[in-house]
Amino acid sequence: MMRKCTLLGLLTLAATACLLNTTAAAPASDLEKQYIDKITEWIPGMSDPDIPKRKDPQQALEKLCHEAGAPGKAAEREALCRAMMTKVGPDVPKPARIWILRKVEPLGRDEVVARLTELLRDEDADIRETARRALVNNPSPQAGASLRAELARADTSKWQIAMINGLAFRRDGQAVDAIAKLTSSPDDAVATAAVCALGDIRTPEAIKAVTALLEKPRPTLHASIAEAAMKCGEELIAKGSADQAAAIYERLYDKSRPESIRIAGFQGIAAARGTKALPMLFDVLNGDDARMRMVAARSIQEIPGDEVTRKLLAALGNAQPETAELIIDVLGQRGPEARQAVARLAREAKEPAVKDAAVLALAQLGDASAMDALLLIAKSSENATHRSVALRGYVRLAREQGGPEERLQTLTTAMSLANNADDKKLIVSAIGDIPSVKALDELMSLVDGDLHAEAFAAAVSVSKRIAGRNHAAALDAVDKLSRLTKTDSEKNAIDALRDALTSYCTSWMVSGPYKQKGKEGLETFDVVFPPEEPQGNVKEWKPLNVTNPDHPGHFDLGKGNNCCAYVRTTVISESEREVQMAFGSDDAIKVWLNGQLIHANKVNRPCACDQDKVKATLKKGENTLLIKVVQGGGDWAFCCAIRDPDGKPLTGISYKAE
Amino acid sequence: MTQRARVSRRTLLKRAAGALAVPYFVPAWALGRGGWLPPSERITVGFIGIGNMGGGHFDGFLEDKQLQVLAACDVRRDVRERRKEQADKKYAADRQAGDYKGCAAYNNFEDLLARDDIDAVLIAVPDHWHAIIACAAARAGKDIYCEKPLTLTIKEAWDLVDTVRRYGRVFQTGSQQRSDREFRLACELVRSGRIGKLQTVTVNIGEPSQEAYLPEQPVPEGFDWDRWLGPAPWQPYNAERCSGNYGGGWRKIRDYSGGMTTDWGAHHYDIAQWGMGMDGSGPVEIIPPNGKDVEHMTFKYANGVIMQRAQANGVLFSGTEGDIEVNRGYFQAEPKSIAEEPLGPNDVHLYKSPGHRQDWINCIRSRKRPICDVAIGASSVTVCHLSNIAYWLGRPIKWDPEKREIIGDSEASRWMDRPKRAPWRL
Repeated sequence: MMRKCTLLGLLTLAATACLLNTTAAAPASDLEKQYIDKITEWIPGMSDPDIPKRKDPQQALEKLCHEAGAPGKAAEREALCRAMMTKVGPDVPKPARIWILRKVEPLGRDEVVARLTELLRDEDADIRETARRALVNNPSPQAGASLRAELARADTSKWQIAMINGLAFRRDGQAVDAIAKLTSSPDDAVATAAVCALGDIRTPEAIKAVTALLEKPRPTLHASIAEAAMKCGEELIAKGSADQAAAIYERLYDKSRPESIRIAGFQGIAAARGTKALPMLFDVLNGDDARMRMVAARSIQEIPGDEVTRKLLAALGNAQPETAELIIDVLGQRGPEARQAVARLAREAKEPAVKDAAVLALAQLGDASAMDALLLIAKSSENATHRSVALRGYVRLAREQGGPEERLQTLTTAMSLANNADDKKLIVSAIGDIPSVKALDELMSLVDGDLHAEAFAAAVSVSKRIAGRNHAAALDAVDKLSRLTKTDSEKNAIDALRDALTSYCTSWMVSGPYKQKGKEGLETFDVVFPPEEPQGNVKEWKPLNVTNPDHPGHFDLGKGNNCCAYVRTTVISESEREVQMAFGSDDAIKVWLNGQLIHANKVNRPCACDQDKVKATLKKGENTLLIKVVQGGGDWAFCCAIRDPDGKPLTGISYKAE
Repeated sequence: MTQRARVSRRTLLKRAAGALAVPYFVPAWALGRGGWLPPSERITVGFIGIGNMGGGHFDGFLEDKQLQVLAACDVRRDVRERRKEQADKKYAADRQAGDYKGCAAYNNFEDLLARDDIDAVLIAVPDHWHAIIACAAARAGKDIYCEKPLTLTIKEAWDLVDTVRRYGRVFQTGSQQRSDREFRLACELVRSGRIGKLQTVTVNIGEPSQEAYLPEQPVPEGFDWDRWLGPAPWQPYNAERCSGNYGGGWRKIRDYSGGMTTDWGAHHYDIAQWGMGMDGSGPVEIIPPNGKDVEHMTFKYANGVIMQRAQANGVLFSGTEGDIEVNRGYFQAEPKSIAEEPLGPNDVHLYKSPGHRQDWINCIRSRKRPICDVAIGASSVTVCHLSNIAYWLGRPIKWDPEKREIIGDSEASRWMDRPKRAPWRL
């Protein structure tokens, strides 16, 4: 959007350009004077009581700072910073002082430290705080010295904490002694800040101080000391002092600690000790604490090597079911080499326990390369349990591989190998994920048999998924299923699905997005784009796919900001009739029926079905329905249902989108 | 630690085989009790920040039978009280049965996090608060769903990763496009080489944030303005400054957000990184438009791929043998045959999420890392922040994705983090 520049703004920008063009030739002191003159000129604007008017001069200073801060412009940077420091005194209006200090924060070095240090004692609290932040982010060692000195002088807890936090941000090792003393402050907030700072600083002296705190922790500081200790442990591991780190973590793993700290301690021990921690890890993996078993599993996962893979498989043979699942999951995460080792063991292992475990692991690992091996075991193993486990693993992977037709074929193969009801039910359920008419046909052939419940549920699922492209097939299935219900739950499910298919339109064509330059938010609501025009030249109408299999009538329109899209369909009614049309939209919506605007709601909202209800009249035969959905930002969606005037499902109505 | 009694190998195998038999499709109406888990088995959740995004989640969480909302925290009294009432009404039956004590309303997130009976939190506060609250939640032993973009600065992002790992928390970043089928398929096809050698990625997102110049207004009754500002520099109250309006409000203001660069970059740059196989890594040079030879924000990757912020329907991957363009509810491949042949065993198969919230719930129970684990959120938001730094400074910057350092530009490096207004710290 074009913005009007004020005259001051234009002059400011022009002056900045002029100034920069002269910088290459001027010596530092002249340059500083030029900067001072410019900043002086901008100060009234930067402090204007009408806040929006501060924009141009403040942005001019910011632009100057960015350019002077570029690599290779050391002289300009220093001169500008010196110049800015002459304009932060109490003689300058506060808004300008604050802005200048904020611009110094990512730019200043040695040359600003003295003045900023003075400002730590300014009368105005905002000035003091802004100057503090400028010092905190200043790489000069003198800035650290100033903050340390100010910490020593701080006369309120709040200011002490501010200094401590700043020194922590800088990882200032020279502040450790002073900060360590403050860990015994009677003010818990100060003591906590001091402990946290030591954990951030993590020099050897800081680590020593934290370790000492672990010996006799003050109750109100337990959590802070624990975290500081963890950070120190991480530093020690990084520096190669694993034993020292492990000693810290072992203190944290104590049973008296809260669970989250014990977990951190345990993980730390594993990280510090590596493969030496395996006995402890496997001990916990086979223990009684469910949460710690999971933590142990994840820690083992982080330790590489074939030795660990073999130990996992050996452990699997004797594991309780919950632990077995964890081990299998860990094996699956250990990468292709581990999975190959498992496949080999599933075929060749001599120890029955390891072979059992390997078959189980192969069945549960998420790698498609295992499918051939699993199929072979399912067909030819002499062990019935292995055949069943392998078949289930094969089915699990088949659900994820290939397009609808390939998946159906794979699962049909699996069905021919299934020799017990549980396996067959699993396969039927998997077919329920396939969005195709052939899958629906397969399921319908099973509904009236031993697998009724599973086939029924799966057929409902597939009907929802194909509703957008094959509305007639979905509706036909619903009619057939309604005659085969055996429970109230099944009846309710079919009624709900019928409502979703008949009341909600699932066949749409979409065109868009449409934008107009300068129009933001919902402003395209009133703009007429080609789909609204009687002979509008619409570039493209495309089929809109079902985006929400659990609610085929609710459509996501993708991503966009400050735009709109149009969807259209043809409603075919067997008679002229009054109806209730119900719409949901994110965000605004307009609706035309047979070219007449019947609804408009300029609103910013999340989409839920049936948010707006409108009475309308359908004519016998074909009715054109056009909806405009306007997008401000965030989600973008709509839904549309047509019911009788009392809100009940209609018969004799269908939709056509082309 | 006591070893539990061993079971026979055959029994074990049969039990484990049984675990494989649970069908994936178990309709809610088949679970009984209308599908609701008993209160003792539900994951208890506290909400921190219940504006536009948080409000949408709140509505959805109340309908989720695996969850129970115990607390609503917001610095606006009317918001948190309204949500408290909403939850109390929803769970009225549980309350009658004595299974639910009611939803509590808090101004201060610390009070919510201090509760032992809350398992997890959903954080939907403005971006400048994300890191502080998420770190505090991790320390308090909570699992976390945090809205995107992950953080306000690069350093906050990686400090947050460290904290989450330290406490072994499950953390889902709210970049929910990774749980959508069309985005996953697009990335699988690209990474499987279906478009040949990837050459360019085009991402369509909006503008970076800027300073705001808004007149002072009276602070509304019941609004804790100082706490809303939190670690950000002090500014006078203005309704537009703190409005959660998508595409406007605080999202456009640099003290609180990276603008649309981060708000939508956390979606589309995230997908771009996923498609490029660059999770955990990033570009090596970021070049802002200069009005001359560089028309678009440009990212150069070490492998030669160029990403640009320019016109596309979502994310457009272009290779030597075709293109794939993907957005919410939209997928287009050119030539079409790229997507017609199904993926085979030797193709790249990416994490398949059952839905972003469900994935988080599953991972809370399994302790696995979810699809948008904190490190994924960090690596994606880093790309966003680098873009903004280059844009604001008006010059290219070079980045080392291994060391996570800006090379040769100390002013730019200082933009990787911002000191927080006292007394706030990470």
